[in-house]
Amino acid sequence: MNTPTSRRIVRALLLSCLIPASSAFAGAADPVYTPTVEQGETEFEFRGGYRDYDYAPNEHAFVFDVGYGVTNRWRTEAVLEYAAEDGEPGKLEALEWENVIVLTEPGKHWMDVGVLAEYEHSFASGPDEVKIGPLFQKEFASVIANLNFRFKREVGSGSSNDTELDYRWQLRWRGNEALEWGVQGFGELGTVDDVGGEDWHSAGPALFGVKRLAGRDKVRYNAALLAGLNDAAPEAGLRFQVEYEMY
Amino acid sequence: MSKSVALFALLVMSAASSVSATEPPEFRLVIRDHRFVPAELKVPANTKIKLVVVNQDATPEEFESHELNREKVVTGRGTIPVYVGPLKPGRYPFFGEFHAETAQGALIAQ
Repeated sequence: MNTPTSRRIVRALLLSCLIPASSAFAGAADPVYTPTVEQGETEFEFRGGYRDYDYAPNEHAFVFDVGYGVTNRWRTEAVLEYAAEDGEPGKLEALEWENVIVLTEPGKHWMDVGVLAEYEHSFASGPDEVKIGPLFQKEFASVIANLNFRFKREVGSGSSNDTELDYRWQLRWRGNEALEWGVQGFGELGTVDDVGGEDWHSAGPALFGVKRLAGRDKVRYNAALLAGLNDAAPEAGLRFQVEYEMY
Repeated sequence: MSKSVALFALLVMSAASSVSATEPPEFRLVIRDHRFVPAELKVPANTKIKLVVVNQDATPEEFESHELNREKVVTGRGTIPVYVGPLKPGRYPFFGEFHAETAQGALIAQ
């Protein structure tokens, strides 16, 4: 019974149990956040993602988001999430209230720091979720590095006592603003009581750009092709983000 | 949850502890009649600087520069700090996004 095939089946069953039933799929569309906000800017954002697993149904997700820069330090957004996995019909998964708070003046200190705070109301019968975590940004000459950590905790009836931790990062080489290249990475680190116990990691090449339109409007985009870096990670992933920014 | 809050606080504190204690040299940039004054500003190369952007117009403006990686709104009659650098010697254009036809300028790092 202890053959490679049986071990793979057991591993697949165990890993698939790690995927929460309600709120994880929209993670395929997750972006990397930066601790920057533009006051008075309204943004309409569409993002999506696809994750290909070898041990679980593949996932895809789409997110529509409307945000507003209330001050130079605070942007608030309403987020609607749609998600599905192979073999199941897609559905509206959650409504989220998302906030980016800039803690340090950009460029003043060795590193820029902000906070991402989210409250996710699930349309399913399961609990809601609170997510909070620091956003870091550091410029190295022509490279901009970003790192996000995010703590996730279910709240309400039937919620788990675990607090999960995930992360995202990117490196962007500044050049022509219409098309820049870089690298993005996404992963989960398990629960805070057992960091690294149920972790997965992915990374891959990314493109970034801004297209200025007539008047003050802009279209900003980024996309990445991701490869799994360990057994528990999705085999491959694709994600994109398009923002229409206006004043 | 207390452990996660402690870890979060540790991350933020470690970032905040690495801040520089001294203020960089300041340079004043005025927005008047939807133009930057001076239109070209000489600043020291290889040094972080603080631009004090003073908007003397009644309407808001956005200081923007892809080369400097900065976008920041200054309200009408408002003042904002914009930290940039250290910059290699060279010319770094910036513009006022709300009046880009007239509000053009550049930092000359030397």
